[in-house]
Amino acid sequence: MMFQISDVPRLLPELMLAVLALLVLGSDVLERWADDPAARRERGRAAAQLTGIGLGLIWLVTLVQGGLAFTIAPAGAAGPLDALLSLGRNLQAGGAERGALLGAFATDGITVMARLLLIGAALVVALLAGDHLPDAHPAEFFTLLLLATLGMCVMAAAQELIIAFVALECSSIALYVLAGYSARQPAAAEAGMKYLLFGVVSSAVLLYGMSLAYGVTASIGGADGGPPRVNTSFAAIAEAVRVADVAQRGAVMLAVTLMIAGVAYKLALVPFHSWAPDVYQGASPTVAAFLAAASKTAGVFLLVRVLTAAFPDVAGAAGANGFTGWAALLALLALSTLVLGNLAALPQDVTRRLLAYSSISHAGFLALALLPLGGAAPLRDAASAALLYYLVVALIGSLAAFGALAALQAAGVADRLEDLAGLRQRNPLLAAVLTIAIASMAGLPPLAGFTAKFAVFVGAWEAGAAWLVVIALVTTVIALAYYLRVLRPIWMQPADDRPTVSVAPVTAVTLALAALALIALGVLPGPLWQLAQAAVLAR
Amino acid sequence: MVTVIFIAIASLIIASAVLVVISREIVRAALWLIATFFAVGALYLLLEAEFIGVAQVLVYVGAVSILILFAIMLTRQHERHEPAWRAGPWWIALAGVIGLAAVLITTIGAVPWRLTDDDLPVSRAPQLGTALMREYLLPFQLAAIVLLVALIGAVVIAMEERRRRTPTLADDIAAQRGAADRAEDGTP
Amino acid sequence: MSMIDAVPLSWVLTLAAILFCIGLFGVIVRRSLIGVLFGVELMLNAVNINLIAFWRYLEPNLVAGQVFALFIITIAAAEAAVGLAMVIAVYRTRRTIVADDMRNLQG
Repeated sequence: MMFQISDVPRLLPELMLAVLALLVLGSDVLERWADDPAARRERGRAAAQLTGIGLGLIWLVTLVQGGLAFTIAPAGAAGPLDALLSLGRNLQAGGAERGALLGAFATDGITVMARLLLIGAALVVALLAGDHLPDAHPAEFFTLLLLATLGMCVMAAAQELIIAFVALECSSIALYVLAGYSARQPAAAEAGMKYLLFGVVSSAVLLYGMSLAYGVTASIGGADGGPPRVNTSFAAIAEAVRVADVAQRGAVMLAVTLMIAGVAYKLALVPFHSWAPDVYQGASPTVAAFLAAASKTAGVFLLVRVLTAAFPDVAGAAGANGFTGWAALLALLALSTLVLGNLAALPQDVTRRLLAYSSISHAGFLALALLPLGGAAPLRDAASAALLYYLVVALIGSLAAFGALAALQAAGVADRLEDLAGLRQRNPLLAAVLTIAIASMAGLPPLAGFTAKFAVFVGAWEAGAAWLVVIALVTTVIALAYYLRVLRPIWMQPADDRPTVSVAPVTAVTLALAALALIALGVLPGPLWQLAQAAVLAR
Repeated sequence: MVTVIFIAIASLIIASAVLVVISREIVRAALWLIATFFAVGALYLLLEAEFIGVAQVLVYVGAVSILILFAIMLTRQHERHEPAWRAGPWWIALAGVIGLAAVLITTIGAVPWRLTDDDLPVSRAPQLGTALMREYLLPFQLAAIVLLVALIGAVVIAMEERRRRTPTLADDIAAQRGAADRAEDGTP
Repeated sequence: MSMIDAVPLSWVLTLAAILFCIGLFGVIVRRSLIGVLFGVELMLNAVNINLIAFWRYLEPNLVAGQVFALFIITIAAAEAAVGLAMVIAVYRTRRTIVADDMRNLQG
């Protein structure tokens, strides 16, 4: 098993992210170096623009190379676009190979989908951060953003324990630093510290589970005298789990439990959630958007990889036909997250804390969507497509909501609910974006959130977890109460003498596009649904 | 004989780890932590993983401990007489942790580990190096990026910018000298 | 005489489990941020003992366990560097490194 030069195209988006990160870091040296605010802003702008342009390019390359949305016809007639088309053809030829790279890195449809989502989220965050620069070291901020995205992309493709762990840490360490950025502000320093402490303890728990999984695999696989195997690869683990006896299955279940607990902090599932409100409130709002959108998505993809590739044989069920395996664990996590996340959101007065709890309760839906992935093939594929659909919608929704809050904070609006009063007069665009994002999170019918929730409910219902679907429906109704608490000051209260809010043009366009996407995906769910299904089937 | 050595190392590990947790002074806890690192390194040598043992001593004892001592030195404060533990009910934590230990030990103890009769290869370090360049090439490269992230992150977070730093004696002298130079030139 | 003939694997695993739990206890009860990081280091060392023991007893002619332990040592050093830098940053703004005193962020 060796790395061939022909394998390079399969890693193209990741390699481009690494190169772009180094470019952003290096080009900062060439900028005018002075201490006055104008020079600092200029440096920050330069880094933000380079990051934005680069990420847009990488996103396009990923889209063309993945070949999920469209494939370029093999030989077109010579035309003005021929050079461009042949470039695209070459890209698709390089990305089409299947089978995990070095047995550790899958480049299938799910990886392509994950890259599109994560790089897209990083692009939006970079665009927002261009109008909301950190007060020191801007180039390093964008470098860390890019490297965190790189780690997340690898995480979503991992087919082996070691690379999964290293990729998780690559994204986590970068995110600790981003959460604690502008460490002179006590709130940011505290946010970074809390996130780091939760993260390192979780990763120690995750590692203990991984070491047990490796041990069981080595114990079972070591005896058959075949060719030497990589006992940390998910394929080897799955094979060992299949033939494990009762006592070994006990150790496997312990390993799965610890591993789920270790990844659950990334998703902020209750009871591993207590960092989330503090960090979302203390970190800069653009970083909060990145955490709520990208970091959570990457955690879900890692869980999908681990649970379906390494432990399909201990999936169990969480319904009328038994309460066993990791499905039962996820059901319990989904239950506690849905109930506690929504109830804790009710009394919040700080907008960002309220949205943080709403984001926690969304993790409950994600756990619910992960439940059916251990089932039989047709059901599982439909559930995977539903999960992907939900991830796309939730990602756009949290980017829009937290992005609007970032724009509000940049305009000097304080972050309590009553500070939103009369926003419809002070800035109609932000009021509309916040309303659409929140209505989509609440799952109101014409918007994308409704379709996504519906798909998840159907998947979980068919997997037998009807009781959990009923509870989720009830909590969705409870959630309306606190979503309305955000909307009420925006639309019902007078602005009094609060000043109007101005938004920078790039932010305004980005947020408007995100809101439009939520409407479009709600009215026309077909194309995205087909894309998700293509991603699931392109194994 | 080996059994005796193992038991000695194991009790050293557990005793020093307990002292890390219960020491009231953070410096003492740090020194006990270094003792734990050394004892774990000795266990690796006993398990014939020499490379990992050396890496353990180099990285943990050589680098991490020094970082920790620096951090303690830079954040030295007047909490000598405050309790080292949280005010909350620590016995609940203790009971929970003992319960977890019981679950871990019984589950692990119940597994019939199938030992191998394969021999230990003679050249283990080259084997390790080859593996890092073949099967584990991707995590190896990614680890380099993680170290870059940590380097940038630690500098960005811990570094105070020059203009925000409290002025040192050298800065004062430089400022005075600059003022004197300007006075000589006759410019304000 | 090598260790695998003299000491059963479950003893080593038990040692690792106990060390892991001591570290977890430290994480829960320690007040100082540096103390919490000490607990995490103990937990990571426990994981490494597990991995090296599995490698030596179960597949000494392969390398996965050793490679994994090597990566954990590397990443733990990176985590410690960032963690301690953050402790210094917190101390600079708040003049304390006691976890209970971090009360800035509340609703």
